[in-house]
Amino acid sequence: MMCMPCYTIPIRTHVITEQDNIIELAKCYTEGVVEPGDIIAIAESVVAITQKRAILPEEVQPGLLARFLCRFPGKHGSLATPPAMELALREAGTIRILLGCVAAAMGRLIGKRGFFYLVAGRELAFIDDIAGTMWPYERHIILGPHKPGKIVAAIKEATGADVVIADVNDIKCVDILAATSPASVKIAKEALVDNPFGNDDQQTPIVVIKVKKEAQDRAA
Amino acid sequence: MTASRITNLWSKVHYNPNRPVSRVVVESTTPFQFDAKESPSGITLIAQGARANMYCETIEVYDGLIEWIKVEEHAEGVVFDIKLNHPSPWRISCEQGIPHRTVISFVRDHLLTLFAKKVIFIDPGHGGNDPGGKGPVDLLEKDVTMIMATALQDLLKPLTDQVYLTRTQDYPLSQWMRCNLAVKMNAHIFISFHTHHSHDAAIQGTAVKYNPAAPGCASLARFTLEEIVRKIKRPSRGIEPDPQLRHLGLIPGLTVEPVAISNWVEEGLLRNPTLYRKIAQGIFNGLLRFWGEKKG
Repeated sequence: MMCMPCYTIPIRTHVITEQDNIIELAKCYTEGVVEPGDIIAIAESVVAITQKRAILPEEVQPGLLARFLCRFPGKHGSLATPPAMELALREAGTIRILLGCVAAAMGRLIGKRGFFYLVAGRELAFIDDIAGTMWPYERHIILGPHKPGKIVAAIKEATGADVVIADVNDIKCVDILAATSPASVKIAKEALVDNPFGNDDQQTPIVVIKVKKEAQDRAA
Repeated sequence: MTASRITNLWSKVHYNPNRPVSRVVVESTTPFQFDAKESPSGITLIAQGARANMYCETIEVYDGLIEWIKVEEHAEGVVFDIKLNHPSPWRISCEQGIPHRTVISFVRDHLLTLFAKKVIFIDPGHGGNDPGGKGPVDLLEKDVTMIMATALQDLLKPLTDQVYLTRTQDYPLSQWMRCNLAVKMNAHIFISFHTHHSHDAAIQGTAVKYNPAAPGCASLARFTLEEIVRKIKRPSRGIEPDPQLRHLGLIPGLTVEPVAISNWVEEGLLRNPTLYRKIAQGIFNGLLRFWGEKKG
């Protein structure tokens, strides 16, 4: 696969909270940096935080089912604690979660992973259980962002640039939750592989991806 | 001409062979003219004519040399005040690219002097058939203490070649044997890692216990506690004497409990690799204050 010649410019922001408006933030922090043809990438967790989707575990009362089911995902998984599983049950519904569990069990029998999220819903994979990162949200459970497609469209309207919302980790996995164009998905997947958002307290949830002209043509 | 936009600032310790440096990196859209001057407590860098896209605030570093960096936007440009805890030679270099990087490097030689020839024993608590506490999900104390110990060893290794672990594999050791290893090697310090474990899952936070037989050890415990709390931002559970460390005699010794594994929020924090580096840096800063004060 050919590598896209592009550069990433992480922008250090304040600690984003539920008081912030992600569209205004994207506009304000990228002003003077973003140019025509660039892509604005935003970390999914901060989009969720601005949507009041960061929840303190003590505010969740996990039921018996959540307490039981949370024993099965790997201990480094997203749903390893009862409150996170309880929130997953509320997001996807009990039936979908149970069907996901059946699929996961069958997957284990044949040595395949990922069946749970395939059946229960991809959005559950974006739940971040107590992650220990991004103070003061290090002890929150952060759900995936709500209607990310609408958010990227609104930011594009405000800034004129293509926009992606991405979930990136330090093991070079890039998941694009929403994008304003198919070309930007392709470019962002390569550009964000080294996680310029950071996975600690770097406070760089907004990244401007500058793409060389020939790469844009190729992606299109 | 459009103004250079300052987009990001970060700091990291860079381990050149035999000469570690603290690097402060200012990222911008284009190069900028700068002016740098020394102040009694550090240096001030002015990015002339630049504008800040990054958020201007005081950024805590606490890497053993750089305390914090204050970023402010003024009419003449963006001003970076870098506060050091020790005078240090510095130099500025530029790295072309997108983003453009202006790098201020501070030599950490005084740390080499302070840690040279120090014999440091690090003890990962529990092991083998003694797992210690267990988290509400499933982390085991014996495993997380090993990660803590290794993180501290990695941080100290570039400064002294006499850093030892009491155990490197998963096997049990009595408290007497652990302390005896340190005594035999005439250790300057003994640091034992544990996590708090309680039936009360609400208990959380950091505690440091100390060898009551070693002179000044309470100060060491207090410094270490303050520095760990500053790095990992958990509540303090205070310091107290640990009678089990009496086996060390006059050797300063600490039992560090950075978090409570039985609190499932803190068990969640233990899944994040960054936490271990922060705990190690907190202990490092505590040692620095302790030995720095003794030297001073």
